[in-house]
This record gives sequence, structure tokens and C-alpha cells, in this order.
Amino acid sequence: MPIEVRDVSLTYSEGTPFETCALKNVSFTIEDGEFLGIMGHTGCGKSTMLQLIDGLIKPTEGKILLDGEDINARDYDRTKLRSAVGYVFQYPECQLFETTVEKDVAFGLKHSSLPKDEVAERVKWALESVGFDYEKVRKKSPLGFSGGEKRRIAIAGILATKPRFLILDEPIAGLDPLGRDAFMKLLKTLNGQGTTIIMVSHNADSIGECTRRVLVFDHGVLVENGGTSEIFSDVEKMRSRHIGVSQSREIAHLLKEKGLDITDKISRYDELKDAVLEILKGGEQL
Amino acid sequence: MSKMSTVKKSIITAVCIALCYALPLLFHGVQNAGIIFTPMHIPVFICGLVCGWQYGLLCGIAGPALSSAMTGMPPAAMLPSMMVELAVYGVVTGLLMKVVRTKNTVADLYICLIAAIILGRAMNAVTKALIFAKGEFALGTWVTGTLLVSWPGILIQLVFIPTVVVALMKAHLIPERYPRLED
Amino acid sequence: MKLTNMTGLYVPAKSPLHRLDARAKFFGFLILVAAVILTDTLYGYAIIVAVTIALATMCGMPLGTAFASVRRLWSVFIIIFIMNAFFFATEEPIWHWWIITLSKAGMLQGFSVVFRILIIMVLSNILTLTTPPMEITGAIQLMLKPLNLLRIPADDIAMIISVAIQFIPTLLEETDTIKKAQIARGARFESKKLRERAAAFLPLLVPIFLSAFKRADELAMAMEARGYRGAKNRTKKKSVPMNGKAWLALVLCTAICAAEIII
Repeated sequence: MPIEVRDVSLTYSEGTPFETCALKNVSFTIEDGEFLGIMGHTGCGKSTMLQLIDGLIKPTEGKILLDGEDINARDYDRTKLRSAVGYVFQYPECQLFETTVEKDVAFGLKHSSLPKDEVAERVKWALESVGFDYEKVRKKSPLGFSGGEKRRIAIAGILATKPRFLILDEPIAGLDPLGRDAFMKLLKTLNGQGTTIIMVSHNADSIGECTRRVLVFDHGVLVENGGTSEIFSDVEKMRSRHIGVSQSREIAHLLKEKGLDITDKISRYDELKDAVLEILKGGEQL
Repeated sequence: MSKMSTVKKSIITAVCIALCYALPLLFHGVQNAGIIFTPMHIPVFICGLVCGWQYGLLCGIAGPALSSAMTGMPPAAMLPSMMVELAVYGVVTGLLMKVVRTKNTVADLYICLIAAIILGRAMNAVTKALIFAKGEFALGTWVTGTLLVSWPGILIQLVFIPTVVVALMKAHLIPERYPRLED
Repeated sequence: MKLTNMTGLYVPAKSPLHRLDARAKFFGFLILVAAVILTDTLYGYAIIVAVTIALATMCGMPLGTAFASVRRLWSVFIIIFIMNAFFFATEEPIWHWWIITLSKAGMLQGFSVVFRILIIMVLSNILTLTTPPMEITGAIQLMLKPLNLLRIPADDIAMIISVAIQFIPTLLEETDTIKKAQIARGARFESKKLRERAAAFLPLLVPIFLSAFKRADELAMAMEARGYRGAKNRTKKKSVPMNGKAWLALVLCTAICAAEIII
């Protein structure tokens, strides 16, 4: 089990009048190579869950295991966790601080034992994979770029550490549609190369298009855990949770309401296209 | 840096006052580096450098006062000398930034900072002596003593503050001191 | 860490001190501080200690709470004492070496400095324990009123301070996020070497100022867009006048202060 979350609960300000429960008895596992989506209403505990996985906060109860080792055990070597997990915070462009793009992207590699040319190679690769011309940007200040560009630089900084698990908190919030598509494509490529991706998003479309499995949180409780198309099949339930489903699923739902015999197991555009083509081939009239 | 509106300068001052409260909390959370790191000084310097002496003065007085009222740190007994010290930082940096113009932003910043740091720390020692030890006091010894004890903090301030100000300019959040035409 | 502890040190309760008007408490506190600074006789010290203990019992809290921050700062007290005891220039030293002079007068001086700081700290703790921060700032704003006569824009200052208070929760949350984000990126704060430890703060400091200034920029623009031109032209909430108990408290504090000066 690469990452295992076992009966985790988190209570803030325990034993005071301000006591609030952020997560209640959450258990799930994350397999290598997965593309996992996490959804839920604002304040449902999604971001808290991500921070727990990255060891930034400790659970009040329960354990989080990475490759079978408890990451909050006293004798656990934290560097293992740091090198395995890369965490892209919401609005990561706020983390930039170095004087040049090159230095900022290399920040995460500072404490690694990599030789200099390997570091430079990694920085180049990371900047190019987020769509920059390495030679053009490397000596510029990261602070002078536009918001979307800054976000790509910040993400390059995480990619440069080549994490096995990439955690992203609302990575496409505030990006324009083109930037969004390009970014989701990048995530798919990384996933294809073997990186496990865990993504929190409000955007049902990006979750529907990319992920194969979804966790849904509601008031700190893990209420759904299953295949994306299975979970998206119950459109009404997802709406009642204020989450909704992807546009492709929405269209399939409308078509079905209009009396078309179309499957409920659709979350992605290509699934919708195939299903519609199948029906058209069958000669059914709209 | 005179291109900012009064409203903008006022709000920047408000943010710096709030940082006087927030930064110490954050850094004490990391470790007990408060005495060396002097996190409360930094927003005051920056406010003075960026907004001018009136704003620096307000930040230097209101910042520690607000923090003291809300968290008890700095303790009220230390408050007057700290307020005097920080007010001097804010005023001196603000005034000197008007006068000093070497055509090099970083050099300007260093000159203003060093003058402010020396005057501020000295005034801190004098105030403490005046409040708690009326008159018959080895003033000179206390002033040099204070300066000697706090050198790591001074060094950190000299490195960090210009870096932050330059970063703010690069991010176009405050106007450049010497705008280049080609940019 | 949940950063909603906006109450500061304030602990809600129903003691007479809690119910007292915040303005009276604040100004009374200032008067007592003046008394502590002005006194220098043994009787004076005795009176002020008695008053402080009386107040600490009145606020209905275990005495330890009022002394908590005093315990945290004991090293500072020792340093202050040593500086006074050893660097006091006097004619009759007990022991002398280079610039260091140990003298009886110096030690007495050290005691009285530490004593004053201690009393003021306990008094201020009593104030912050029994008064919500917002009410203290209200009293501070009241204190600024006369500045208008000196052509100092007190209204603008009051506006800046209330904006600062409103910014605090947002800033705390943001600083916390930035700290976590940089740790996740590989920032280390636990290094033993002073230089490395100091360097580790830069990744926090620069982003914190950038995001704080960005917020300031946004708010200033929004205020100007909606026609804000300075605090002078705004309407205000009318404040309630102080009641008899509040005035009585102020008179008592003034009497104590006067007694200290006379003795």
C-alpha cells in the first residue's frame, strides 16, 4: 500500500470551547500510478486531508502510512516523505521569492545531494514541461511575470523534485480556459509517465476528464469512494451535495431524460462521444 | 516613491501594523528566534521606507501597541522603549529616503537602514534608562551594550529588508525608485 | 493550527473588573503605570504591590494566569538586573574590574528596575485578561481624539488601525499557508547554524510581504473606486458615556497615583 490513511480524525482546539471537528474516521488508500480526484463542498476537509497526507499537520487520531511506515512516528525519517510527495498549494504563485526563476525552481533541490549539472538539468526539464523557454526565462525575476505564468513557475519548482506522488490543491482555479486545458494535459502526461496524482478540485469537468477514482467529502466525513463514472452516475445526489458533475455527464443525463437509451457510466468527453456514436450507428432517431 | 496615493499608503501602513502582530506569532511558532530575528521591526522599516516618515511613525507606535494589547507581547513594561525605537526606525527611514539619492536603490536602502538602526537602538536604550533608572545611569555603557547584544538581529535586518523591498518593486506592488525608460 | 484565536489573552468571566467600562480600565491602567514609574520609596512600593494584588484577586482568576508571561521572561529580568548591578557608575564600588563595577547602589538600582517592570507586566496582564482586544483599541482611539487639535489626522489614524485589525485574521491564515507551502517545498527551519537558520526565513518573509502588499493594493483600489477620500467625511457611531462606577475607578487610580508621588 503506497499511501494508506487509516481511521484518521482531526479535531481543532481539543478540550476548549472552540473545539471543532475537521475530519471524522477517514480511511482510504492510494495506489501507485493512480489519478485520484477529491471533491466536496467548501470547508468539507479536502485541503486538511491533503495537508495530513503531506505530514504538515498531525491527525488527532489514526495513522497515515507511506510504504507501510507511519509518517507521524517519532523515529520516522521525514526526508523520505518530503522527497516522495510534492505538494502544489492553492495559489502556489504566492510562494515565489528568489531573485531568478532558475533559483526559485531549484529551491526544493537545495537539500538534495544531486550534482550541480543534474540540478540544472532538472530545472530545465521542469520549466520546459510547464511550457517555458528555459534560456529565455532562467535569469529573470519570477516576480515580474503574470499570475498564470507565476503559477507555472511555482509548479515547475515542485516538478523539479520529481515526486512520486503529486498533490494538487485547486490547481486550475483562476486560470483561463486555454491555460486550464494545457495544465490538465500536463497532468495527464505526468500520470502517464508514472507519477501518482492526487487532485482536489471544485471543477467537476477536470475531475471527470482526468481522474479514474474520486473521493467525496462532506462535513469531514468521507461519503463516497469509487470509480469516477460510477460516482458521477447519480447526478441528483451529486447536485444535492453542491458538487455537480462534468458537462459530458450532464449532457448524457439530459439525453436520457429526453428518452435516449444512453448509459449512466459516463464522466469524460470521449466516453460521451463513443456512447452517442454507438447510438447513432444503431440508427435511433433523436 | 511618491507616486502612491494617500489611500494606498494608508492601507499599506495598516497591513504593516497587522504584520507587526502576525509575524512574531509565525516565527515564534517556527522556533524561539524572536530575540535574534526581531520580526516586529521588519514591517516598520518597510513601512517607513515605502510610505514615508508619517506612516513609518504611525506603524512604529501602533504596531507594537496593538500587538501588546492583543497578545501581551511585548509586555507593557517594554512597550514604551520599543515604541520609541520603532518610531525612530519609521521616521528616520522615511526622512532619509527623501534625501538620499545615490541613483542605486539598494545603496539608498542600506544607507537609510543603517542610520535608522543605530539611532533606533540607541534611543531604545536611552528610553529604558530614563523610565526605569532616572538620571544616575551609565547611559553610554547601556547604549553600546544594547548595540553589542543585538548584532545578529541587525545583520539579519540589513540582509532581509532590502531584499523584501526590491522584491516588492519587482512585483510592481510599489513604484520603482529609479524607473528605467527601456522597461 | 487553527488561527482564530482573535481573543488574545482575554478570558470571558463575570468579575467586577470584567464588567468595568474598558475606557476606565485602560486609562486607569495608564495612571497606575505612571504611579509605578514615579514612585521610589519603600512605602510607595508597598502600596503599589498591595493595589496590584488586590486587582489580581478581583479579576477572579488564578494568580498564575496573571503571572504566566512573567515566568516566561525570567531570563530578561536577570539580564536587566545584571546590567544595572554591574554597569552602574558609582563612587563606592564593592568590586571593580575593567568597565565592570559591582556596587550596592547598582544592585538596588537593578532591583527597583526589575520590580517596576514586573509590576507593570502584571498590571497589563490583568487589563488584557479582563478586556476584549476590540474594546482596548476603542479606548486607544478615544485617546487619539485630542490629536485633532494638533492638526494630526486622528480620524485617518483610527481608520488605519481598524483596517489593520480587520487584516489580522486573513494575514495569519496566509502566513500559516505560506509557511506550510515552503516546508512542503523543502524549507528547513531546524538547522543549528545561525546563518542557515536565518537564511531559512527569507522564503517566508518575501512571500508574506508580497501577498500582504497585494491585499493592500486591492483594498486601496476598491476603496478609491468607491469614492473614499479620507476618514474626515465619514459618519460615526455615537458612543455611550461612562457610568458612575467607571468614573469612581478612575478617581481611585488617580488618588493612588497622587499618594505615590506625595510619599
